[in-house]
Amino acid sequence: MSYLEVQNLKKIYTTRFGGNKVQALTNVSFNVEQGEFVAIMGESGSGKTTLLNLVAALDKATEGSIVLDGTDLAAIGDSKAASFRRDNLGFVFQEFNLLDTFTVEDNILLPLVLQGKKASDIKPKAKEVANRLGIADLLGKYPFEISGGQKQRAACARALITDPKIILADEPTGALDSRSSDELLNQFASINAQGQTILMVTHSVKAASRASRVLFIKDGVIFHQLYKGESSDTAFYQKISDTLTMLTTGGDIA
Amino acid sequence: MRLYPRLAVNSIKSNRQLYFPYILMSSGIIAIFYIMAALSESEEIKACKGGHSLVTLLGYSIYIIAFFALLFMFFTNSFVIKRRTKEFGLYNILGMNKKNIAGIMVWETLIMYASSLAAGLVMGILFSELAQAGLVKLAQGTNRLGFSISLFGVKYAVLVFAGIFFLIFLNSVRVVSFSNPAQMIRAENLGEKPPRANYVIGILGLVLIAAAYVLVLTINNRDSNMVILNFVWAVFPVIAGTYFIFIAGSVLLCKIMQKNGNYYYNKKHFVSVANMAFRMKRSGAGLATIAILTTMVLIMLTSTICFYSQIQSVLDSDFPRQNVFVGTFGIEDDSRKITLAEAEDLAERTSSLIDGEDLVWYSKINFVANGANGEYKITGKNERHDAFDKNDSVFSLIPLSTYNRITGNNISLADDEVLLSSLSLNKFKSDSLSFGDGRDYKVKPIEFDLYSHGRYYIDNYLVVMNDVSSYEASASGITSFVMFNKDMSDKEISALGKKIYNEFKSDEKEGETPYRLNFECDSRDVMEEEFISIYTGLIFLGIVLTILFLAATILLMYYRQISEGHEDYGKYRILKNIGMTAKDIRTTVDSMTLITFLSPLVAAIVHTSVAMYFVYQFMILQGMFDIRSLFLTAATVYLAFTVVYFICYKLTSRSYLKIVNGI
Ligand SMILES: Nc1ncnc2c1ncn2[C@@H]1O[C@H](COP(=O)(O)OP(=O)(O)OP(=O)(O)O)[C@@H](O)[C@H]1O
Ligand SMILES: [Mg+2]
Repeated sequence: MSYLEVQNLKKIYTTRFGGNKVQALTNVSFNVEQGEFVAIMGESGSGKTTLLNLVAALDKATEGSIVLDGTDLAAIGDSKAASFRRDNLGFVFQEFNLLDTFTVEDNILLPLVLQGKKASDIKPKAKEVANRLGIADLLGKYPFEISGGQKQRAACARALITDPKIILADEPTGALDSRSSDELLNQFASINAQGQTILMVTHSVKAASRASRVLFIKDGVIFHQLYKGESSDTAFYQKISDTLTMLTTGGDIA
Repeated sequence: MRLYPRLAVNSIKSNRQLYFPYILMSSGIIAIFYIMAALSESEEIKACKGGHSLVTLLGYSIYIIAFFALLFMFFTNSFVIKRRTKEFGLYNILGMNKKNIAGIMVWETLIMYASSLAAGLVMGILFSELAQAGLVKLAQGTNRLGFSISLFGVKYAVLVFAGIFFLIFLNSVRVVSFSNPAQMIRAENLGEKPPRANYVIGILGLVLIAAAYVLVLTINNRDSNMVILNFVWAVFPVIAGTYFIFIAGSVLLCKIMQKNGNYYYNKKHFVSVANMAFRMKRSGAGLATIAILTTMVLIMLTSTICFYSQIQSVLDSDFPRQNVFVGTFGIEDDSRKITLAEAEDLAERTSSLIDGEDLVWYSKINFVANGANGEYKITGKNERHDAFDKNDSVFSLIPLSTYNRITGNNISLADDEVLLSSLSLNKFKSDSLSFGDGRDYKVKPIEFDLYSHGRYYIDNYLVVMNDVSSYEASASGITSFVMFNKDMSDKEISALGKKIYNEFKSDEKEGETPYRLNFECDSRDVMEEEFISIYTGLIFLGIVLTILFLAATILLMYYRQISEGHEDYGKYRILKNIGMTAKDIRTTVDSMTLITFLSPLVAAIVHTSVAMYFVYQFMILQGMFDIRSLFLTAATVYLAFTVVYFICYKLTSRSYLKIVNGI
């Protein structure tokens, strides 16, 4: 039994008035073990965000099942989905998704407040997470006062503060310059080293090369996967970019 | 140039969320305007009691409606334009210059004008008969069935609203031409810090309101000038103070809530308080405007309804008979004061010229005395002209013979005994009475309202004693009354007045100083007409303004909900992702909108309640003493208004939730 099990997942979007149907996922199956750092790659429109949304219980699958740590997501009703997310998942998005009406500290505290925790209990926790991500001195600032990289770290802190079972990241480095990307990926690597499970969608080969495994998705199916194993970042980087070239040129994987 | 009309139609269609309610409101306003104009020349209303002055009042109120129409439509239009700056910015970037955009706006304005006018006139014509029936009922006239279209109303509606729409168009052009495309596209929220709490302004607001309240609550009806003046002086600080408090005080309040960790870090308050801390400063002015307008409407409705309901009781006390002749007499050259006996003689002779039922005549001595607990000093003030002090009372003296004659009793009194009846609200509390002339009277209280004693808004006592002649010298006036019942027209009354005047004129003798005769002839019917026409007009205007104002408020609320909904959409999407449940979102939204809706209502009710003290004092000046009716009216008006207000709130807050939930 794996930590996260995705089986024969299918997702068809229907537009509101019946009309057009878009098959975003055809048949996706994969497992993630506890403590793994998995990257998902694929062309634009290949269904990565759709997959992540399904894992996050933000949307319902047309067919197939997702089981996280023994909980079948299909069995969670709409009303419970939100609290399930709050208690079990951490999110990092491309566009940070910090609320500009809150200070960095309050943004980080948000999930805990939603869980109904007491102010006195949660404040030290925000300090601790912020320290870990190196943004302790930014806590009193508002989002518009800090840089993109800092925003993304604040978003990570918000994802981490609930000790989630899994971190879901959709192109977390997409809006960052290369230095900030590197810093963020270092953070990911280090929290992963502490045992945090991470599922990350990315377009960046460099980002993917920090993961322990890379899944390639094409036309709604998992097309291929690569394990990092003992190879170095650079070697893995090379392997990933070779695979991508083959994917786009339509060649077969040897 | 077929392009502009087509683009205009398209943009109205695609912004129907904004334009449909806007057109609805403007057609409503046009309908009201038409109705007022039509009524102002309605024959049926002219035929009512006091119909002519009522029609004049309606004629003036057309201007008031036009003014408010301009105000409200301007206000709502600026909301609409603000929401559309992004779209205009896009047009601009796609290669349209500002002239082209103005071209589209011309057509948009024309379309809206035409559709509002058509809908408004249809509604107006349909409802004007209903409004007329209501008004005729209020004015206590008779309704005739019939259906008519007022050309005058149509003409004015077409012209006035053409002007209003033109002004609004100019304003839209101004807004668009002063913004650059990049700004237009980013128009909405750029990153900003939450506004600082401005203690100075907040405290200033509180001080202003407190001062205004003191001004109103220290109003004393003994000084009739003060009643109005204090109120007028209080209006401006209250308006300014309300704005200050809503703008600064609300931010302050949010700051205080945020400081309180256990309150703030609670999922019920966390998001809403942080949101409001940002928004209150911006929406504070709008909320204050709603509060002020609500206050005006509440005061206007309560006071006019309350006055209207007391017309009969005022008439009852001022006109115990249908017709009252009041005479104040003097000697032409003031060489001496007239005696009570002379006055009574004149009154009796007057009454002999009149044939009417229930004829009563008498004369009384009036003076103002200062004191309390039965011990008074005569002041020599004139009760009709001079301002009163705190302890002044008006005493009216009649001889026992007059009392016995009018009541048909046969009472006798000792020389140190008086009968005393309290004519005003405060009852006489002592069992002895003295006027500082060395005489002490024992008081026997009676309940006797001498007909037409004339209303004084200070304490007023009627005293009956054996011999009043020793007070003739200190009297501020001797007044005679002759009253009777008879249906008389205005003409007949003035003819009778002439007859009486001539009678006394012919009576003048050579070498004797003539009397100065001053007769006022009042008829209850005339007075009633006057009252009814004034208060009917005011109530009607009050109701019309209330409708107008409610429409504007609903629209403002609605637009605020939509624009904030769109602003907050992204925010709630993030919150949902983080794990805020639909239920949490709903409670957050509810608590936020409830506070912003409730605050103007609460402010308005507090203001109005304080203002009711002024209304009460003013009522007393008008000779209306029924405080219970004031309470009742105020309570009913509050309740009705609150209910309507909450319906508006429910209707509009749903639109916010829908947008936020992405439906
Ligand atoms: N809500 C939706 N309704 C209809 N179709 C949708 C919806 N969301 C996504 N799709 C379609 O599903 C397919 C997969 O979209 P998805 O967003 O998952 O792609 P992606 O791999 O995340 O792409 P990108 O790398 O550009 O973010 C696309 O064809 C998209 O048009
Ligand atoms: Mg995507």
